[in-house]
Amino acid sequence: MMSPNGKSAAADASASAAMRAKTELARLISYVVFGLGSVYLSVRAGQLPTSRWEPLGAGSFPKLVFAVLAVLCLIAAVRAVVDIRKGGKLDGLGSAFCQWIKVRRVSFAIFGLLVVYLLALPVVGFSLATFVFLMIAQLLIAGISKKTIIQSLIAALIFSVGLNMLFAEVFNVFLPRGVLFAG
Amino acid sequence: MLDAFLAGAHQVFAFDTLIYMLIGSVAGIVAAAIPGFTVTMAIILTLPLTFAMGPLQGVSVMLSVYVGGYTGGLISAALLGIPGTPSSVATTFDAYPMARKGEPGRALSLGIWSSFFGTVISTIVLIVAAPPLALIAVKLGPWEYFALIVFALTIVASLVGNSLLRGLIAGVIGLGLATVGPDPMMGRPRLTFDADMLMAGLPFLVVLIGIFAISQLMGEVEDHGKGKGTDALIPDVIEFKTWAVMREVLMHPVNLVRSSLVGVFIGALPGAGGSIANLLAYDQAKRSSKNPEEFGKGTPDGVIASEAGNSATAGGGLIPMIALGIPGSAVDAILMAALMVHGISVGPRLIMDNADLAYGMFVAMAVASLMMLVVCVLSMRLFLRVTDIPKQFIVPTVMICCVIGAFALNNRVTDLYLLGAIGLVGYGLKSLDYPLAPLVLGVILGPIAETNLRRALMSDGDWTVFFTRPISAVLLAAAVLSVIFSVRSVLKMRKKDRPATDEQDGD
Amino acid sequence: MFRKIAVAAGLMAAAIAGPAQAQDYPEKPIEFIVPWGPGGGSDTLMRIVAQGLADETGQAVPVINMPGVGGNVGLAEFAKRPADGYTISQVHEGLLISNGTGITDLNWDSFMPIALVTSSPQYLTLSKNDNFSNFEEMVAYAKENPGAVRAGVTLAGVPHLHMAMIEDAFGIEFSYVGYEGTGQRIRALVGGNIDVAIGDVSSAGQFVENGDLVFAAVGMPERTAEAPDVPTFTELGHALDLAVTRGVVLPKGTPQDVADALEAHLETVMQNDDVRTKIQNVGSAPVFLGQDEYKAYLGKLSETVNRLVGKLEG
Repeated sequence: MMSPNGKSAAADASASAAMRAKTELARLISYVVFGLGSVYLSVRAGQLPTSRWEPLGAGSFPKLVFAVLAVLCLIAAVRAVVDIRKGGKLDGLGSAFCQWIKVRRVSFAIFGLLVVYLLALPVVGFSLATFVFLMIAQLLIAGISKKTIIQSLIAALIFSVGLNMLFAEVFNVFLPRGVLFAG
Repeated sequence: MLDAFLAGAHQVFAFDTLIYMLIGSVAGIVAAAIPGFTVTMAIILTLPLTFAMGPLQGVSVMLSVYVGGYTGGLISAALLGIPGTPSSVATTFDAYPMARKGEPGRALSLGIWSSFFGTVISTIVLIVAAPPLALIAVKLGPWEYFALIVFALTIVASLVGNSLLRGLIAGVIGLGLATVGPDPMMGRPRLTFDADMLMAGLPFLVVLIGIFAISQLMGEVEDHGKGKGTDALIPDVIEFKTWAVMREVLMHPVNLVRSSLVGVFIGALPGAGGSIANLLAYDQAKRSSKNPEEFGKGTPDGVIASEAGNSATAGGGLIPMIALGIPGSAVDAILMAALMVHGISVGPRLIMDNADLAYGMFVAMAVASLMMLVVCVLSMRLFLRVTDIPKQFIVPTVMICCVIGAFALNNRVTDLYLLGAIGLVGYGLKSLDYPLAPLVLGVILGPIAETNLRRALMSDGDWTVFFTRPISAVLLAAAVLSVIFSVRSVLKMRKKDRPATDEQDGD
Repeated sequence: MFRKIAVAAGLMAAAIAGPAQAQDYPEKPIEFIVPWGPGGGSDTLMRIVAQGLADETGQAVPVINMPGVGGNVGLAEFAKRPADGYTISQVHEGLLISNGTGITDLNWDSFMPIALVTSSPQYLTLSKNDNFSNFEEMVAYAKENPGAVRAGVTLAGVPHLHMAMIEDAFGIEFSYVGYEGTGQRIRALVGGNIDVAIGDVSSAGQFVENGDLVFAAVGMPERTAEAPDVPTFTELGHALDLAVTRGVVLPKGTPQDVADALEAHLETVMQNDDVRTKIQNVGSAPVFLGQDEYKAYLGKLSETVNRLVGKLEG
């Protein structure tokens, strides 16, 4: 988002060209994945039964949409290949990838935590799952110290038990209760 | 007429009604400000309370929730970069950059005033022209709807950011995602692969939260080695000049009126609503601007267009409801149900049979927009405090709110798994610099386009009807012109600064 | 908080002591799963019933909207809920049709029908057009021009079944256009995009009063109080029952005494004048059929649906 504009990019043009080639490669992979996926879905949509009520069946529209997507991905992929060949150097891919992951390690950790949280939610119920999620997530971002532990504890209590009570008592909206504390 | 107007006004200006409306206004703003919580949710929660009130009182309270809700979405759009409601997607484009540049107060004030004027303009149109507009809206058949959606799809070009091709791909992915689930005509499952999770399709709101909120929150905790892990998202500047900003908004009269009218018309079409109006108004503002390259970098015009556009759909949606008894959106349907429970039949005779109620609703709209303005201006300091809260609190708690919102929408646990999956995809797409707004636009428009295309061909097997019905033909011609215009401006931009536009990376 | 603990303790005691005592039922909030979105007919009617039930029992009866796949998502979830009487739901003709067309395996007998509570009379509604302005003219026109009359329906839904019943009885043939919900159909009818549709008083009554639409026939055994000028199908030659009837169900396996207690509560609720007025206000009729009558009713309805369901399959 806040990427440097033309000036600084021009300053180290070669580095940025190599960077661009790598980004293009990542995009190329996404084009290929989307392209293949859309070809498959387009075929699947074509197999949907037609209807005697209407000229277009359930499958026509998705078939068309995914076919268009496949064509767009093909065009994008070709252009990406051309760009990569122009841009040249693709060495150090592995380390670049590791760097990419490293920058985003907290993001992925939070996401992993979110997935575990969502899976646990129907089992252990909203209050407990949310409390644990909030504690870990906050400490993950802020780091562990006496101050952050106390702060996190308060915030986690408010947003887990507090929110659940607010919804259940005031709004009569029942968040997942979990099988452990049924009732 | 004057009698009815006074009778209606008298009921709205009762002390207890005003107090309830004030509470409703605050509730609407807060609900919409929290990502994942929607206006519809807030209205449903108000519904049982209004059963105990008189009809006009109940509806006035719901209208104040409604008006407040169209503004509240602005707050998280500007301060967190996450649309608080589906109708504030376009607000994130310029309000968030403006806030990040150190002017969060200005971004909020701009949005609040634009919302206020948008609501007022839409109320005026509602009072003056509801019956004829409603008649036009009801005459539109599936052909016109399809043509309108084709036109709306062409605005993808305004939302693409750095690469037209990736924008198109994102848009078509959105169209594709919306085809998963029950087929809109027969209700038979398609492309669901017998998975429980996909059985009911991908709810639009879950896609919106996953794509924007989860990916934005994950992006916030990326570590670019600056060692500022506990920082707030936005520089700590609490400064807003309410009256100066009001003048600033009024200095863009053309944009304000155009965006509001776009909002009114889209709102008046049953089934479309605020989630399209803000993007359409933004697109029109960008195209007619002398500096289209400023859009997306924090230009006031973008904020004004989006917020005036979405707020104006509130009045627009009431047009078919008050004039004909046809709800324009889910919220209007709930409003209508609330009236009917009180024994008021809503239909083309409402204005004749229950004039005091109809005029009372107009008065209530005006009062609600004023309340929204007062509440927002007074509480802005409080909202701006959000910018002081460190990331460690904001990111996880907002995530929890998203999870609650996604669940409470349909009370389906499987929607939560979808939320996670879509969030990851959204983050991936964002990292690769795919624009996300076209994807959301595709998810909104896809089902409307498909349903109306199929409905048109069921009504009449002849394809040429699309070109022989005048309104449909005009809209399709507008779509073609719009594409030509976009291609031309893309080529122009490319000539001017091709290297700079392609240079930017994902983050 | 203390109340919660007390309730929890009570529950544990009850669990130890065996099935809950029916005279105590209900002793905590009853969740009401409405398998449709907010703002629709089922939602509005069931909110009225829920409110009445809450006033009657003194326990909250929160309505939980669980829309998706024509009501089947919510009912599938409901079928998995504990059969203790603290989760109730609602079915109507749509479930029988979904079962008949193979969209869901659930049927009315997958649940425990407790009471039929509302019945919404459906009217065959005509748009203003040059070819016909009442039922006989419509039938004559449709016989002369098979397939020329465009009927707006929810494909493979309740209105589609009703139209198929009319086709079947009067020997005519419509062409179908798919719409979602009564509101959309009436809009298309007013806009002249379709020629006939099934409508009801709450969505189309004022258009009829205004002369924009015509109620051609009502699918009730007798003329209705809301539209006394509209002939019944019986008067027109064939006895057709076109109504959307909504009833409350419990998950299968709920103890009989809990079911009886709920039935008794609902019977009182349906006698409440406030509830009855509200139901009439939204264009429906309050009724009450207890467990046995409701089961018999559903069984008979199921036969009609199964006979005609072949006409709906696309």
